[in-house]
Amino acid sequence: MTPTTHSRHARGIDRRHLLAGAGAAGTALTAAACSSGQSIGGSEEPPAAAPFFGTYDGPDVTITFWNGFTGGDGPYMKQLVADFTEANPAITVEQSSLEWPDLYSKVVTATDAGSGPDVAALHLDQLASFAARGTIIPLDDLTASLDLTESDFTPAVWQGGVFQDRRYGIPLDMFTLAQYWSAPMLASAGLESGPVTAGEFATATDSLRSSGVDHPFWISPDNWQIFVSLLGQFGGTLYSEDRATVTFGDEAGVKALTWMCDLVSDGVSPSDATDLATAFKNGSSAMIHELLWLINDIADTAEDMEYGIGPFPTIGDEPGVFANSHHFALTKQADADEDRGQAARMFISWMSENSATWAGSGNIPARASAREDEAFTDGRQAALATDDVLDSYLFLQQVPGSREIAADSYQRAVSRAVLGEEEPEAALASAVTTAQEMLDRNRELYDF
Amino acid sequence: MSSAAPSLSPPRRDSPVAAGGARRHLRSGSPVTPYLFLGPFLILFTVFVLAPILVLAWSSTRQWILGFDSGGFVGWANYASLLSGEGVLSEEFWRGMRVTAIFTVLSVPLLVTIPFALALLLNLRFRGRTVFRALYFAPYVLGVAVVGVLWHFLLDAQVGPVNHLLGALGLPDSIAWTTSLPAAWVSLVGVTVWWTVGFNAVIYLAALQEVPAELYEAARVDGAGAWRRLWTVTIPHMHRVLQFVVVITIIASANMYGQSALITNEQPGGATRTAIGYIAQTGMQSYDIGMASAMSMALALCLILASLLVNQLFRFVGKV
Amino acid sequence: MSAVLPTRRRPLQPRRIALWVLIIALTAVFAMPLLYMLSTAFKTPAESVSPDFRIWPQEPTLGAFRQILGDDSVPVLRWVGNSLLVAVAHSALTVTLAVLAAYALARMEFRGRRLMMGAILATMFVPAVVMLIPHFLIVNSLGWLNSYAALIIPGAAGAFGVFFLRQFFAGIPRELEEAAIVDGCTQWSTFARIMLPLARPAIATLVVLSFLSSWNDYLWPVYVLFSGDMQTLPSGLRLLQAENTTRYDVMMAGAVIASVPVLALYVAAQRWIIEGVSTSGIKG
Repeated sequence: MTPTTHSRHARGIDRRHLLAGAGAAGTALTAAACSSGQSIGGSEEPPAAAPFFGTYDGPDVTITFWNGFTGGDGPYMKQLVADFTEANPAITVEQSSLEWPDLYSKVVTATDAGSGPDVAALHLDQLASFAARGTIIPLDDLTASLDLTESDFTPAVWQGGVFQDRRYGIPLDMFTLAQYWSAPMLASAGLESGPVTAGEFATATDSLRSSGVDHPFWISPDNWQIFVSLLGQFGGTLYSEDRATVTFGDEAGVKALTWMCDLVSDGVSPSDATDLATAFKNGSSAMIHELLWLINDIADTAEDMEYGIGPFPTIGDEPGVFANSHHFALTKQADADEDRGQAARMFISWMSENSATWAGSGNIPARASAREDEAFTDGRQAALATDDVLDSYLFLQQVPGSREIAADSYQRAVSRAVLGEEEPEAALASAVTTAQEMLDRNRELYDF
Repeated sequence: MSSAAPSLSPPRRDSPVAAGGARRHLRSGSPVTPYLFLGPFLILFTVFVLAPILVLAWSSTRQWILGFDSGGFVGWANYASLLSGEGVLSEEFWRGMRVTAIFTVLSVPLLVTIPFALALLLNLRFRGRTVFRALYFAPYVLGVAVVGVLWHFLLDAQVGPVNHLLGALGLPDSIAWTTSLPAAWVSLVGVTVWWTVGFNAVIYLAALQEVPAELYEAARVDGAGAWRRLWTVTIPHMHRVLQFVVVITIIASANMYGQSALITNEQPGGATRTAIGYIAQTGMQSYDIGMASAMSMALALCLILASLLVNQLFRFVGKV
Repeated sequence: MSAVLPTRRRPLQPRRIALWVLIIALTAVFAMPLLYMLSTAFKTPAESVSPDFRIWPQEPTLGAFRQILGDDSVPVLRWVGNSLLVAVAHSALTVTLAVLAAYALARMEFRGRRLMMGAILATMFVPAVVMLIPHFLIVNSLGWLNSYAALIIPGAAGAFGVFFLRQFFAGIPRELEEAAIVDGCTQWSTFARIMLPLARPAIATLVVLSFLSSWNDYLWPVYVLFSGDMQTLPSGLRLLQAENTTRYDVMMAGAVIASVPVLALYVAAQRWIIEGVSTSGIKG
């Protein structure tokens, strides 16, 4: 054990001792509050953990793994964890599945208290937020010892796990916005498959309307992922490359949002639609853009439905589509105990390597080798994982606190504009002001 | 009320004579008795209610974001920046406060009066009233998650049954119940009334049992009709419980956020996000404990003022 | 016992008939969403999202119930047991503490009474959602994470129950107690023999309400429970929902399973709230 690990270890115990020993609740709270300041700031050199050599040969140990794979994803993750335990009998994994918002709202306090997870699955765009708080710790030692590089994944998803030059996540999977269409409805309009360009999209909706579909393509005020996709297609980004300036209000953003609003004002989409999946499944909408979860949902609730699935069309100047990913991250709690730390690293590396069966969850495995497995190539989402489409994936930039910024700025602008409450340009302009102020505050707080 | 015969007026519980007499007698017990009655409650209350609130008050004067070097004591700065009206935090908080205020003002009168009428009805003897009582209480048994998801679906402008049904009845069928104002207010208030009507009704029902039957008999002998009996016997007798219901309903309405998170999804464009919704985001997502605490304290203060006003109103009405 | 409308038989007047028609119509509107829910629980997944909204399912099925109850990885019965245990213990503790404290605050004179009442009331105004983090820290320092104690105890000393019962106790005429004390009753026996029976409707109501608040709470259980075995029904049923999809049939079946015990309790408690009182007889 290196001196650094030793001192971290001791400090952890010390704090727990302090918490347990404090009789009055008030004292305990004060202690907890004060100790919250001792986490790792992004600019500090992180303490080095014991090197990991790709195997675990320590004593029996239990690690805790939190994830948000409830519902249809749950059984696949449970199976994967069971396979891991069988292959690594010395390591017991206590798995907690909880809804993502619940996971995100309790992981910081729970980890600070030493009762959180050792390993957590997090969305790619959340890594920076939890890294900046010191809840999750860098994994560069792990990737170096396993010799993992971007060629084992895709360059974009691999780079997405990096914040301030350190790696905080090992990608498990990817998911993206896809185009779904009803095969019979398209056929009766004389179309074979979903449109891939702006021109084809317009032609397709016209033919569908002349074939008697009132509103062939539905869009909802919650469809901010379409905005992010189109923003990229028109050459824009949410934030500047140094993440100091908000840029989604530029010309590209206005073009993107205008295209979305025109769908409603031209009557291609009805106004005030919020439940696209239901509309698609019950035959009200011939086409929608939705994330990959809809594949398993249709299999569960509308198994007879004949539908096609393909890449998000290129409406702008170049291909581009919103994508996100679930990453494995290691929390600071794991390294409070050397064996647990090692076991947690073993868990992450094994799960990443053996993720082929995870394709059953409807997501796209991040590991290149898993994408060659039949478990994946037979699935419908394989259409979204050709080399061209993978190259067009646009992952959100690593900005600490980005979800709160998004909710109060561009997601709100999309909602207001699509609902016809405000013109796209004006909605984006006020969203940019809000986002810039929140970004400035976060940059000061999180030091990035 | 002053016209009511003396026999009809409820006993004056707070009259000096009664209070003085009681005091003398009750004092005859051991002076520690009250503390024995209160002790168990106070212990838990101190640990799980008072201490956390004191911590909140304390943290509202600090810059404290979980996981960060806290900037330490900042005095009134958090409050000052909330009150300044400048900046996203302040704007969003007051936007949320406005939403909360609108919702509270719209919902409280309905949530106080409709359950009262319902309780009077359910207090009657008629065949099948057990079913009736269970039926009106049933929505409240559902958790907010179920109620939210159910109504989000029912009220969907395009695929929801409500508009479908309205259309079948020849009424307007394209109202955007969850994504436009003021329709979203109607949805939020309507669903809340549907969901919680049983809660206040059951409290009123218990209170109705405490009204002495003799008073009704006496009133009836005096020739008072149902309406008069309501105003001269029932309502004066329930005045404390009414006051209780008004106060807790204001608090409950001001704490609303599940409905706007699940039914309207805070649409259109965040216009139905309540103060609590924003406090939850600040505290549980941004982990900005200092600011969330200051916001909570500000909200609590507004609520205390509102209920003091209610208190005065009751006193005023009681004197008339 | 009728409060407003006279009970003695009268020829039905048109106004009364109109009133009852109105009441029945309103009840029908009120009951529709419940009926729709109930029927969705018996629908196939496809029908649960179909655009022709039938109250009676086209092909009634127990599929949704089977999905919840038949899945080994979802220990629903264990969750029901947890919920029952927690809700019973929580409401027993809440009501016991509140009855004692409310009586003292309503009826005894002691130093600091007004201040105490004011302090208790004031805490009601602090929004519950921000208390999650401080509560978590306390429960953690007590070593109660992932335990029943974390669900039963912290919420038991809320201001609601005390305020509620105090209003009822304060409404009971003092003469009754004075008479008892003159008769030589001790303070305790006055409380136990006179006040408790009189407050029975209020106490039964508080039992129902505090049982329900524990039964339905999911925010706090989600926050302090970690293992699948320890979940309560609402926090466990959340795990059946995926991130983006809603299986309406499964959710409504879960809601039916969760509601039945509470509705049964409510119907049973009604006897205590309403019917039982007329015999206590000592009024005004």
